[in-house]
Amino acid sequence: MELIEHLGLGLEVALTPANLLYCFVGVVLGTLIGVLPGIGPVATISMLLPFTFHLPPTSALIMLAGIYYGAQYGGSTSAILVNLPGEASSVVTCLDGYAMARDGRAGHALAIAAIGSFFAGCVATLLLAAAAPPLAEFAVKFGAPEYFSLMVLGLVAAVVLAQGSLLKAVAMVVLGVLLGLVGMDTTTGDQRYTFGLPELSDGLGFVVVAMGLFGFAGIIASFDRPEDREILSRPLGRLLPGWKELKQASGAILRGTGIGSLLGVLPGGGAMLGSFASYMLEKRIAKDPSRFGKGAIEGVAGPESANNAGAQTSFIPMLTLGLPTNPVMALMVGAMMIQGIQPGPQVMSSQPDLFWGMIASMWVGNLMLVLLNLPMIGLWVKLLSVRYRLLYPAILLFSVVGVYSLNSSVVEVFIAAGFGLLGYVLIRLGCEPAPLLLGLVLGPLLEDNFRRALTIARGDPTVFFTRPLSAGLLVAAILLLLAVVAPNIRKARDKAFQE
Amino acid sequence: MSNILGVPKDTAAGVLFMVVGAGALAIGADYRTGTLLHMGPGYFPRMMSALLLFLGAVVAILGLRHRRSISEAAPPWSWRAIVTVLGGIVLFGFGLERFGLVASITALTLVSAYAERKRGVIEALVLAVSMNVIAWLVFVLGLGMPLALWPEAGGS
Repeated sequence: MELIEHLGLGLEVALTPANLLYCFVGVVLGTLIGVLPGIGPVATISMLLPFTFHLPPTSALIMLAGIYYGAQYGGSTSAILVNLPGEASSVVTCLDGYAMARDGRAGHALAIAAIGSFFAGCVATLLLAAAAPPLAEFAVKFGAPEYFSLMVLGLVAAVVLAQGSLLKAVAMVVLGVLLGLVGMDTTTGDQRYTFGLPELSDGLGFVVVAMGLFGFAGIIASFDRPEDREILSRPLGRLLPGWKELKQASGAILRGTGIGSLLGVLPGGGAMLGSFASYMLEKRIAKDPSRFGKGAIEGVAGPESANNAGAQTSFIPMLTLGLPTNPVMALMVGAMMIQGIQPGPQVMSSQPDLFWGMIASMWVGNLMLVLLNLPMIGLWVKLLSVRYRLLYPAILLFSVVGVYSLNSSVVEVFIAAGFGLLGYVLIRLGCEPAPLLLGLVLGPLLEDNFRRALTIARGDPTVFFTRPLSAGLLVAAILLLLAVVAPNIRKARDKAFQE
Repeated sequence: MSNILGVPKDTAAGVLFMVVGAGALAIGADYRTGTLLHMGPGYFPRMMSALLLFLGAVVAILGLRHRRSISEAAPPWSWRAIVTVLGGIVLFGFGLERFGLVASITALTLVSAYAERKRGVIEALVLAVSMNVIAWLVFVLGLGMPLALWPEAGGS
């Protein structure tokens, strides 16, 4: 069995003491920021990315991945106990999780969330390991036109699945692509949009932009709403659920894992979409939907399994195609490129240690997370009493020192501050910053493949439609756009996001 | 409804996109376009700038339709946080290579601390000291980053 061989190799890498330590650091940090509202995985990963340059690539990626799926565990804790989603992907967990907590069943809700997440994490890891080789094999055959079309499809899908206005999201992608073109043109060597700043000739760093858009802008935006947080003073109740509850939740865990895994692979997916879809599904198929919102255990089990599954399967397109589907994956691509690894189908064969080590580390990390979250839940609950007013200066500190240390450049600190202002304005104008970051990462690749495709085709722009695979991808992108523009589907989509 | 000077927010967003698109076209005006076969540095940027300009116009115009649809009041813009948080970061940037880590972190923390309306002087000072200690422990001692703590002797 090839799969077992691969996972064996991965485990060998993931279980070295150093990598175990980095995995542990990653999942602890992930849980921490997951519990704390106001700071999410995007801001944290961009904050820590600069400090990972000195690590070996495998260790760096293992740790950064741990932050992402660790945050899915932590997010449920604050959702259940404080009715505040620690992460966007735990928004729906608040509904029934908090209701269970008020009922004195907080312990059960937390335990079911952790068990569901663990199960989903294991399944998603296997899925990732099984799906990656055939996908990568397929993608190796891609030429420039196919890559261009694939990226267009990826961006379109990311936009369609994003929340809010479709047009604004498309404009944000284009804005991101434009920002991605800043710097030296790789083909001709000309400087573009650099305003004579030598710092810009390598392009705008995605860490710098992400820090501004997600870190700084997020801090400013947090002052739009006054902080009020009420810690549940009731006892947690018994932690381990009984057979009856476990049985009740098991179906939801299975369905949540399935739906989360599936939606995680899609561009624009990741953790959040799956949790919403799973909640809707559970409510729809329940015999008595009125229980939902009043402490239905399925409403915790489903979404919490789904968000963890989605967080992990969203690595599939990133690792096999080099296509980031959400901002966290965009940062992972950034992390790989800074380490000198060009993400894409060749990573699996050229860096098997890194590839399988990272996948296997997810299973190890999930195991650590269950142990961290269940017996030590009291510790995380205490963390919730840390006020944001004491927290944000520390976030700022790590952010600015991180940005500076990228290239020992204060100019980049100023650029990040500029993107902080832009990010806040965009948030206030109802523009989601995530598509911009995807555009920024994919911009240079889009241009490069666009050029190469046309060079191969001797300047014939129909090449994107005459090569069957490329045509298929583009047609899929167009159909997807049309489907959303069509009024009735649009209505359903808006309704889905409202729920 | 959050609007600046009575402009619907989609229209404001659209105008922002248009400004960036038009600006990118203007700055890139002398980038060589080239042909489809031999694309110059200006080809793709021009395509994207024009697309952004167009999308911005559509967003802006469609936004005007929603002038009347007033939903619940959005909170006012957090000007205080914008000025203090970004101001603190800029001060940090200016100070770091001139006055060293300690002075820069102190400035960053003291200024950004007042993004919070109800902040006592003592609390701000305690925060500034703690941030310095954390920075020293993590960056200098832990990660061994080459950061000067104090102004370099003889430096400007």
